Amino acid sequence: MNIQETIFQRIARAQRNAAPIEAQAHFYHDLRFDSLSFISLLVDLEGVFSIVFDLAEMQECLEVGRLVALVQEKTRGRYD
Amino acid sequence: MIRELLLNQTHWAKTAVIDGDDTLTYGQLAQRAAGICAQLPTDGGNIVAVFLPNSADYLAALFGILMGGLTVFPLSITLTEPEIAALLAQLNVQTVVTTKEHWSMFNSLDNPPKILCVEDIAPCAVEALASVPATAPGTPMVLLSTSGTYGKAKIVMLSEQNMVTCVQNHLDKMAHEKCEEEIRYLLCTPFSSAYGMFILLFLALEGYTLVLMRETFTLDAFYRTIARYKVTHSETGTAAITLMAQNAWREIPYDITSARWYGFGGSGISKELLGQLRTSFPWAEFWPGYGMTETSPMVSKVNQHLPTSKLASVGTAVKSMTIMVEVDGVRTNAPFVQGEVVVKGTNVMLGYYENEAETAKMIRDGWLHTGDVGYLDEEKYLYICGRIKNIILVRGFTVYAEEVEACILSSGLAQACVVYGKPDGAGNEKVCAEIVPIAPGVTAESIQAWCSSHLAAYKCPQELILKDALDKTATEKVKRL
Repeated sequence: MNIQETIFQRIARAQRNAAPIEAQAHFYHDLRFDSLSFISLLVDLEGVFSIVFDLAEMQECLEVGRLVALVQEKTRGRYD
Repeated sequence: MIRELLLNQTHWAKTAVIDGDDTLTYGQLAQRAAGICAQLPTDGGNIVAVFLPNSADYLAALFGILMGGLTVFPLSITLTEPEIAALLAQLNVQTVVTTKEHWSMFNSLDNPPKILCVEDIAPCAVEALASVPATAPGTPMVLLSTSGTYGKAKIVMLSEQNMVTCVQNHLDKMAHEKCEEEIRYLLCTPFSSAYGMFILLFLALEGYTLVLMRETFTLDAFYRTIARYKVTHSETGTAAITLMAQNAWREIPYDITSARWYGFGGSGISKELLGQLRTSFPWAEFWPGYGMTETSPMVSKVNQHLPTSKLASVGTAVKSMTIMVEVDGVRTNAPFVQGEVVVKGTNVMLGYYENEAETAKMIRDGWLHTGDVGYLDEEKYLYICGRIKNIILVRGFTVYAEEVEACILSSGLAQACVVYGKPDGAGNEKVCAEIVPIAPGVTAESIQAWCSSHLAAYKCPQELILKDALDKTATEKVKRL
């Protein structure tokens, strides 16, 4: 499984505008997510990758690139 | 009474605002407000718009305008330039209080208003002001837009008496004298909304402290703020409470037990989620409320504690309000009769600004017709079941389908469209649109981009479907979904 590709697909499904999904894109400011839809996305990814985000980690991954990096770290060794 | 709130020195030594490491007393806030008041025009136009994020500056602008005997017109910080332009033109607003960061939203207008940037305004002694000018009876103190800019926006007029009543209603329900800690409020709804407005006025009346949360809302930021500043009361939209319930199983690395009262409103929440909250946060009370901008805004709220048997309700009527339901033109408060919720009381709006036709549709025989369907139980608890009017509730924000349709049609990319709401989980809705494009090459992305640049984010369709034709009724009208 390509982690970044999977995450980007999930984001594309949930985003509220046609802004490009790039590493530096901010979920709230650029992709028009709100708090509910952002957490829904994270819950979706928790299910897809069998991981758990804690509250502080949710706070830390408000940019696409940081979210991808966090998921990659949490799934290290599983999809290499 | 409301206009003179900050002139009362009783609370001047108390903390009005906590903003990170900074605090502002009521006395300092009064001086900032006086500084803004001194800059406001005394001739030509009595409506002053405020375009500011949630901040101490917002409070200073609000009270500065009120001290000047003027009418305040809050503009949501999420509005786009076209939306702002249309609203200002409709009301002939000649002065806006904003920041240098947002100044560009106004200076390209055809008739730009006078722009006052808060950074350029120095505080001044309150004593330097003359007394608050008297305003004619029936003059609105606050104007609030409830719908958008395509066609004539409906602008709610609220009087000083409306706001006084709402504040007194809140006092009656809350029983703050039972709180032994220093009362500190965290307000996570836009200050520019009716809900935000009345909480700010209530805090100033009682001399309570407002804690600001500048960060983008996340649960971590929310809990961290509560813990750091020992927040006792939280007022948010239902979305925040829903997030708390859905994520209650995640460890909270902060002590949030200081917050024992969570008030919320804007959209519904299931009794199951509410029950879950009580289990997960047993030290706290969760208080749903119901209302609308047109009622200043509170219609009903929980009275200190919501009994378990009433979890599906939105509480009982606030003190000044009478609630009934109307079925086939007949009003009743008999229990378990379902109909349109109609209300009467001194917190019902003066009307819609320069729009008697819409006012007459809304207020008939002295009763405001909410457009919501509900019933009262045998103890007069109110339950909301659905909606008659064609609005979509997106995280507590009202979206009029007609407004989004008009925007899409104005793009030149669509020949027909219909906009509707779809449940999005946990009492929330999302905006959906079905569109017949004007030409084969038109894409959903191009229509989406148009909406993004012409509508606030919460109004933009999340689901956009291109079709060859829309379903029509027998009278050839587009069928509403």
